Amino acid sequence: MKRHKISVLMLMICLSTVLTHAAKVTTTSIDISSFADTTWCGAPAGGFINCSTFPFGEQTYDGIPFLIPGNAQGTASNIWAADVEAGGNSGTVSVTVPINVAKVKTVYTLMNTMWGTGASGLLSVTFTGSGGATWTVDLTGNVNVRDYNQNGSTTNSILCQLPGGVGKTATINAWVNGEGQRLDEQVYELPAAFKNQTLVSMTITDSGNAGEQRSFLAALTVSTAAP
Amino acid sequence: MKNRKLSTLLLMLCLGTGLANAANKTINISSVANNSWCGDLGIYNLNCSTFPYGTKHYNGIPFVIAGDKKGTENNAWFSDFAAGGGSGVVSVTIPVNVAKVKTVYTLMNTIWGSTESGLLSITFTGSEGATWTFDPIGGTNVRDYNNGNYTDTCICQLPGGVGQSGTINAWVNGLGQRLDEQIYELPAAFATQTLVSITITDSGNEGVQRSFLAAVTVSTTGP
Repeated sequence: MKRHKISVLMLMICLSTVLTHAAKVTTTSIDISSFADTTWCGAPAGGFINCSTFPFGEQTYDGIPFLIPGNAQGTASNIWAADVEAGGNSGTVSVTVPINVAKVKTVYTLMNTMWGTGASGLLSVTFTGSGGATWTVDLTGNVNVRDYNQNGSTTNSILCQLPGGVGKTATINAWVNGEGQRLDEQVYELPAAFKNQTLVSMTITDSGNAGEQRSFLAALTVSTAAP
Repeated sequence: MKNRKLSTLLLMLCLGTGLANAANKTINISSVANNSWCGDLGIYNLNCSTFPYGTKHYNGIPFVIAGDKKGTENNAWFSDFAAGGGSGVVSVTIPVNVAKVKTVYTLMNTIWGSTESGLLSITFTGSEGATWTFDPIGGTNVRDYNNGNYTDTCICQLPGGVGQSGTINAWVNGLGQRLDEQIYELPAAFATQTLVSITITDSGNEGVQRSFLAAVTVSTTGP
């Protein structure tokens, strides 16, 4: 009788563990169209190089679904561009994107810069949880972000790794057009404090300048699974 | 009595399911490793003593790199060493024997490097006849372990689906040397077979490109 009780107890523990692992992993693409402030071919200074090759709509990169705003006519804005937000001048600009998804473990962004520098203190991303958790990551050129345009004079490298654990971030490539332009994917593995909270929002703060470095955000996806 | 048997059976099934979820399996390649970091790379005097060995985690994946602290054991399979430092085709077959593998991870780089095709291939062989041969290209799928004058770029992406491959970085020493991680998402035919072996075939030459393999890990889940 005692053995029977033990095996029933072990069965319950085992089932609970397996069911937890089998819990549905959700990947949610966040619509950032209400914050998008320019098109690929709009700004700055008449658009990105080879702007017509840039993606929009539902895309999958590195196995992760993304939703890039825009339309086939090129009349709807595609990205939030810090340079446009700052009017082409210096100064700190920011955007807060509402997320409101529970138990997020990983955040994926498509972000690059116009121009680029290895200097620190120009760009940060802050994640805010419903129970008070916050995490700010300072993104550095040539490590976490790089110029969208391959050239010899700005930033051309990224870490090219996945995060090594919670509270870490890394960057890999998402898209290239074969003509020297690209979009990179930042992967943020949130600190453990977010595990039991709702990820309320993500804020990007850009303190760059035209000709130095200005970031842009093309898409944001969150997941309840680790990278 | 009947209830007891039933709960025991269910417990066994449950444990089996749980174990099946433990998806990553490192493959010991020490039996095919033919030189140490400081034996083969040492001749180039490029910080060979900083190279890793033992159990390591890169990009969330466990790897076992052969070797010991004293540097007396071999760390990797070097095609240049297998070829005796000359030209010619050399190959190595690594037994795997793991069922339902979806993803294979390797730590592989080259000494020197070339963007030419036809210098390197990797073939996966299944128990029921499935085979997949992929040709890693310098500057895309593999690159020189030493940042410098040969191949310094990689695709820096994960595979986009089954039958595709991607490469990201695994390790750097901050002194200009690195190990990269190739990720192979096997074709669907392998899903119901046992991955029997992996064969690397290198047709390079000294001063052109020669690959080396430091570790293999297989997984029954996607990348």
